[in-house]
Amino acid sequence: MEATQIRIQDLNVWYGSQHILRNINAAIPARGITAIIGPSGCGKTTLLRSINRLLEETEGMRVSGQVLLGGVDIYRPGADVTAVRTRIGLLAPKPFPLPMSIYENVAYGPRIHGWHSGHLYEIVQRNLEAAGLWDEVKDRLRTPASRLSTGQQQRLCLARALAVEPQVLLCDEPTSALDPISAQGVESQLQRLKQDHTVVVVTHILRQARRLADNVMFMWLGELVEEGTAVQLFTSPNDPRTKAYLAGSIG
Amino acid sequence: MRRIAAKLFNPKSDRAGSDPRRSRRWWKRVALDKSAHYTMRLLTMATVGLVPLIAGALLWRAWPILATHRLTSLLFSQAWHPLRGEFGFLPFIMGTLWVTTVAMLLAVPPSLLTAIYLAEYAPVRVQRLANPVIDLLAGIPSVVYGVWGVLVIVPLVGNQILPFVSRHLGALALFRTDNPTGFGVLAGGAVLAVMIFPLIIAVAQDLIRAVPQGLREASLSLGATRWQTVKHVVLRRARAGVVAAVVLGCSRALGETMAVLMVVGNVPQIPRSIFDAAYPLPALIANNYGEMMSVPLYDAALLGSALVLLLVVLGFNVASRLAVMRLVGTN
Repeated sequence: MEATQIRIQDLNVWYGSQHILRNINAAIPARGITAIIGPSGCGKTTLLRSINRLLEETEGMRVSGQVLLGGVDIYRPGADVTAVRTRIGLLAPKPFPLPMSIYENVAYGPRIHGWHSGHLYEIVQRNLEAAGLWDEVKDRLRTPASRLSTGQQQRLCLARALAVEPQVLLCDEPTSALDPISAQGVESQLQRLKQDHTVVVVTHILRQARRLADNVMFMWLGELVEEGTAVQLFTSPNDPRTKAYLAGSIG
Repeated sequence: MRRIAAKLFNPKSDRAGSDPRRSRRWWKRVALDKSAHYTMRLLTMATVGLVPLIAGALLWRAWPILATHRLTSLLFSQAWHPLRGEFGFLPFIMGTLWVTTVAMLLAVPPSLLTAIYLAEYAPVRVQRLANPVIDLLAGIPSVVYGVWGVLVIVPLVGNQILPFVSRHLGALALFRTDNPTGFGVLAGGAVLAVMIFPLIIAVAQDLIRAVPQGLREASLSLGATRWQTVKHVVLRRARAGVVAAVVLGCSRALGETMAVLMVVGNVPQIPRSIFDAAYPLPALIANNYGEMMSVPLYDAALLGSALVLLLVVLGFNVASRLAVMRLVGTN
């Protein structure tokens, strides 16, 4: 296994008085796809959103513990949230194209960071290609992004996230709003991206985790029950709850 | 729960057709349903019908003046001498436009920023405190704003702002005046601005809040700051709503009567500076209707000006609706 990219230490999350994540300790290796699996409401999404500090956008969320990205705690006092989120991108369950053209959607990230406006067109092209969307939209880059189909919008969101060159890509049930063919498209893009990105995918579809994952984390009622390589976890899980979940008798 | 469901769906227990008592009740229910439907439809149609009814009545009563004076001379003549039979609405139309413009300039930037703050930045605690107070502002009677304007705003304009501005910016025609009283366009605009604050804040806030959270998160998770997110994503998406909020405030400002009339000076002239006295259309009607009615055509002239006011506000609303539709269409 390769070097650890993200280390989560003693992470606890409360929403009001509700204890949603309990003492999470985990290591997410660099590159490859790590899948977080578990039934609905077990804290998968909360864990994912704690990794790019999007949790704090919800009022009433309280976080304690550490999330180390390349050895540095992103929750340390004085940490620059925008820098954290630039290095750790997010793909939401539903595509949310920004209210602008296809081109502007991808250019948005580089623009707000004030990066090389001269090369914007190249950046847009490169990332649309990386998301597997370029050939479908290259002739209508100036049309509003909302005119694309849902599957195309999700790939646009992927291109948009990639345009700020994140090291880590968090995907929250990235295919749940898509038809099977679009879903397959997104999955195959993720497979390619894992060569040089750390991809973390939340999914409650076991089949998807089996197809995609190199590493798996299984969560149950706010706890991280078990983590390991996909082969190990799917073939010989240690915890009885993992066994039961994989067998389909719980969750 | 399950027992009730079983009773409801069991065909044996449903004897609506055979039991006469049930069937009488059934008829009653249907009758009530139908009468509720038609009563509500009638009331809705009556409300919608009020607009043409009012416009028609105004047109009818204003007809004597429309028949005897050319429309262009009514709308574009400055001469307002009822005793000589000269009725030019231009000073009043310009008075309305001046006061409304100043009010919008004063009101729109701070109220939009307040709306953005409350919708995007403020913690729930602050929202719960601020919003009821802002709503309260909307409930203060117009005449109270007028008194406040006379007691506070007019002396402030006359004693502080006017001397200061004319000392430093007196060279500009916009700030030059021979009216030292403080009663004028600026005082009227300031009072109006405070009156339309709560309306713009409330409407703009609701529409900004209606922008999906996922859009904000999409921008934030690219490393955008909150302000970048608000400016490039939230406001762009809520554009039509913000326009609607401003237009709503503007329509309110155009028609507001009492508070404005108390502080605006009421001199039938075309204002040349923000310190000049003005005489907006609503003030003209409110001050004069019922007096000097023996003057020929005076009554018709006042109702003609009411018609003009109605048409200005209507035109404004239609134009804004078209603008909003176009904006929504491009989104």
